[in-house]
Amino acid sequence: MRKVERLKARNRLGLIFFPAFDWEIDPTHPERQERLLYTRDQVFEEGLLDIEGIIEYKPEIATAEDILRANICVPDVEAVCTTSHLISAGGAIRAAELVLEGEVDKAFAIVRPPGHHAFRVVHGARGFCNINNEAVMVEAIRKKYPDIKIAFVDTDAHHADGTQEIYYHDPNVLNISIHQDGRTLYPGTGFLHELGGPGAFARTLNVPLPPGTTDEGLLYVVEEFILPVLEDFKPDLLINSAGQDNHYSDPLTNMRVSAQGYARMNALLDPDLAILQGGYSIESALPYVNVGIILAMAGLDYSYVREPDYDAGKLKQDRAITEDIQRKVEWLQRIWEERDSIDLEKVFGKLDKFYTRDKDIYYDTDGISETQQEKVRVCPDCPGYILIDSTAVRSYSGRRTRIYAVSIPRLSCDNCHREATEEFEEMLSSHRGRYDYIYLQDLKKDKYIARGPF
Amino acid sequence: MIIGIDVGGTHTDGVLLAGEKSPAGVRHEIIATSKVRTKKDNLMSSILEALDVLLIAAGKTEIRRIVLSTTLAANVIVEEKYDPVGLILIPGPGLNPEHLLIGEENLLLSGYINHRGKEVKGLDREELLQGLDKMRERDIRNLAIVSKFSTRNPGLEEEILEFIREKGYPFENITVGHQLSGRLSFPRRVFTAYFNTAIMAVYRDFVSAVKKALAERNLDTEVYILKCDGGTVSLDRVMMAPIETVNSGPAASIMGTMAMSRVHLTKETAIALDIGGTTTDIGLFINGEPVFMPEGIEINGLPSLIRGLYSLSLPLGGDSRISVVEGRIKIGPERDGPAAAFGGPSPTPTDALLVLGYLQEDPAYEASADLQAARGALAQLAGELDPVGYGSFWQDGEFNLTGFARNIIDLMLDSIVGTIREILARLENKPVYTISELLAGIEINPKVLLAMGGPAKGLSPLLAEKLGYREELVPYAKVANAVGAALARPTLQTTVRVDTAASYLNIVEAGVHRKLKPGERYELEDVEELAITWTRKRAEDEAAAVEITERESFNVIRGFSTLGKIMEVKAQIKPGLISRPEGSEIG
Repeated sequence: MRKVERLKARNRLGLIFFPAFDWEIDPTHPERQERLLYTRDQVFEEGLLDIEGIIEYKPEIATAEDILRANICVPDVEAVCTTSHLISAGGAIRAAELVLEGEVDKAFAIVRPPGHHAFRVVHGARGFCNINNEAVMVEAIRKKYPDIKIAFVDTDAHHADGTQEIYYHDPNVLNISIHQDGRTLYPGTGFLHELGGPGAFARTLNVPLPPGTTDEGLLYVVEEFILPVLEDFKPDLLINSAGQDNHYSDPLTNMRVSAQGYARMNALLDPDLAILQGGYSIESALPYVNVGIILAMAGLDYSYVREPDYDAGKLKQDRAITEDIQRKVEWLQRIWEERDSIDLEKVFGKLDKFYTRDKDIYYDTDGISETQQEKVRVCPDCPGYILIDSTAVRSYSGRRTRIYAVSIPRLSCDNCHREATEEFEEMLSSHRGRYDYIYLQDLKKDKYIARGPF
Repeated sequence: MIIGIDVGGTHTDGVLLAGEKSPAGVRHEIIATSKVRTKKDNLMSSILEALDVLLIAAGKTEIRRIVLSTTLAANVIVEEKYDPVGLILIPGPGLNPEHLLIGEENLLLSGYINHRGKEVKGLDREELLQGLDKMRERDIRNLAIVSKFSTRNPGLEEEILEFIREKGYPFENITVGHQLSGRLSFPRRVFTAYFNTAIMAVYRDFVSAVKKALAERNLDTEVYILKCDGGTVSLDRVMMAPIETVNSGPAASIMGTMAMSRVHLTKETAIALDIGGTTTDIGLFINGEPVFMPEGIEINGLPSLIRGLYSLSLPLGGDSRISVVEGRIKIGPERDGPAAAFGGPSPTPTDALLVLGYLQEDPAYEASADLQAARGALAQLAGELDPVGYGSFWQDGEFNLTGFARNIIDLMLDSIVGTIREILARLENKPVYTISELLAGIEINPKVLLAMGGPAKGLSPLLAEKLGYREELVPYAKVANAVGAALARPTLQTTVRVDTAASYLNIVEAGVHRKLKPGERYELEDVEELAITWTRKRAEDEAAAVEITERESFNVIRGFSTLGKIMEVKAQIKPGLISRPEGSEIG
């Protein structure tokens, strides 16, 4: 027998692989039972689980309280969240724990369903997401590590609007999303000027890429913009929200990234965690992209990973696209450099006690239209607190639900905490007539109250 | 009558069983046993020596069945006593194949089968021709041919085989990957195919030597070889995949425990312990059935596709050397010889058991044990012990030998109990892929400790107490392996995969891969039926008890319409006994 060196991962990599072979939105929906079937087959056939240092773990099952720390579920967790969501979120939590406790160097949660389109308030499913896995994970981590600095790099082709919304005012979470330009794809957001609230300016960064962007454009953004930003921000935990629908074969998008591009990007980013998001070319892309990401994270040779129909010649990027990306990156670089010296009142207008945003949120999966006003307490000492007034209308039944919610971040100062709880009591006693439900999401005291229906 | 022969590292044991019909089935009684030293370089002579003793005991009674559990395959592999093997691989894109090139010659070919079994890229015949010519020039006679996803479509592997035949290449032993197992794992398939080819020549000689020896003895008995999954394969079929017989020792031991205990009748979940001189082997029964290892066994340090019974060997036995290292007690892993009480050079756990009086009632120990020697050997360690940790062993300047012996035994018990708990935890944490499985959880709650081996009598009550199990001593430890081999029945697995969207049917282990005929329809139940039928057909046993072990069914969807279904079913004849022995004493 010729002696060969047995493969050994340079980074100990934990894999939480949970394909949920018995869950689907409906039988022909892209988010269906066999979405990860071919990925499993490829991972097994490549023998990745036999490689020393690649270890498979079972997901946890998240609890209702885990969900409530991230999402305000209307009317309650059971109504918007199936067991499969609890497992998917539990998979992300497990992945983070494995890394933070030092059991592995890195972890990849290949779980479904995804979560990055779920906002703080959840009336139903949008963009195939009900609850926000990543936010559930972040809040679970922060129970133990309240000051932890987290960076997300979301590489799904769809803008990570849910994760952005939840952490828009949180200075400890850097949220970078690279995606296909919102003018050409769901959810239609994620433009350059969305940069975070006054308390967390430039903690939200969006890089909208033109349709037709290839490996070249993606890697350019990573090398020229994202890596230097991460260098400055110095996160304690770097998470890649690993959507795989930038792939050239994806049926829902118009991008042209290959498995090599994904693997190379992961090698460059060198994230602590990766969490699967979208990606619906389940046969032609996912098996190869996932193998590429696993190898890259484990620090193994991924240069042989290629789609069977890969043709480098066909995946050349247009010059116009290259120039468009360069211009955007330049603009963002300038914002990042000037982030601490920018006059926030020029950006947000006069900053009084509250900063107010109005939102229209459409739930494509469940057919719900939500209008929402979000008021953030602007506080010099802390991230403030958030007051939400939200009305959802179901397009089929016309049923209307209005809720009010008070959300208090974990790091709120005592003064803000008192103000916010008084506001909750006041709403409950004097204004309940206007609302179906009133919620308190108090992360500081780890207390979650739902009242109603009134 | 039935003969079982177990070739072990040092001894070859044989056992002759006589069957007797009873209302409950056939009961077997041990009529005779034999024991000879194993000659590593001539296993055949050891087998025949053990056999002949039993044949004399059998007299004129007909021998219906002979089963051999042999280390032949393992020896050939470990000592590399085989001719060079050429590997032909069609890896396609994926992992860098460098770590798979264990052949004495390695040929990487272009071509690719994808995960759906579609041939994405065909072979390059010119490349193949040149590669084969080179193998021939270098005098390679043995080949292993493996393509990625050949379990989904064996086309490329078969095309190469065909090409070799067509061109009349002089290769003698060839393995094609897809016939070894229905499981996915290209690296494991490569390693398994390599070792299978490596042992083919030696195994062929062995099979003809066995046949010749039987002819010389005027026997026309069916001969079977024990596989490491606890099943048997007939001498005539073993050449299809001789690698399945590698490392059958642990399987013989577990099947022996099964035969000698009541576990398969009571259907209990049990831990089996075989406490020997140098090692303690741990096995597991769930609801009375032996458990497979979650992955295939390792062969020569490499992972394989070969299924094996769950067994873990701890380097801890009755004769393990007890030493004091940096002031602390250490047991094993070496064995210097027998226990001090039996003239050995070092103190051992057996000595500690004797000092504590735990082995007193055992006639085997009582007669010849030198208790003074046991005490003396243990007492010698006293001076080296760290007074901080072990100070309590001295009272008024007197060394408390009993306390010290008890401490040694506790250490050994803790190590065994810890390992058992780890095994259970590992099996319970095995990943699952459906919500219903995850919610159901896996819980393994053994109720019984089945113990055999010399020191078992002293240790097993203590172990059972620590674990909270009921204790059951299994008799006849010395010939249990041979009994296990003698009474094991054939095992077999079949994987059937139907992809109605791609329109093909695949009966993997039988090498069937064909397009579906027009109008040919399948639902999951039909695929299950097919798996059962083919398992019986391949086992040449129409009535065999076949169970379905895995079933999957997925819709294949393009856009918003369902194109068809992918269904995969695995069926098996599980390991079991042709009957159990009932007998009070070794004849």
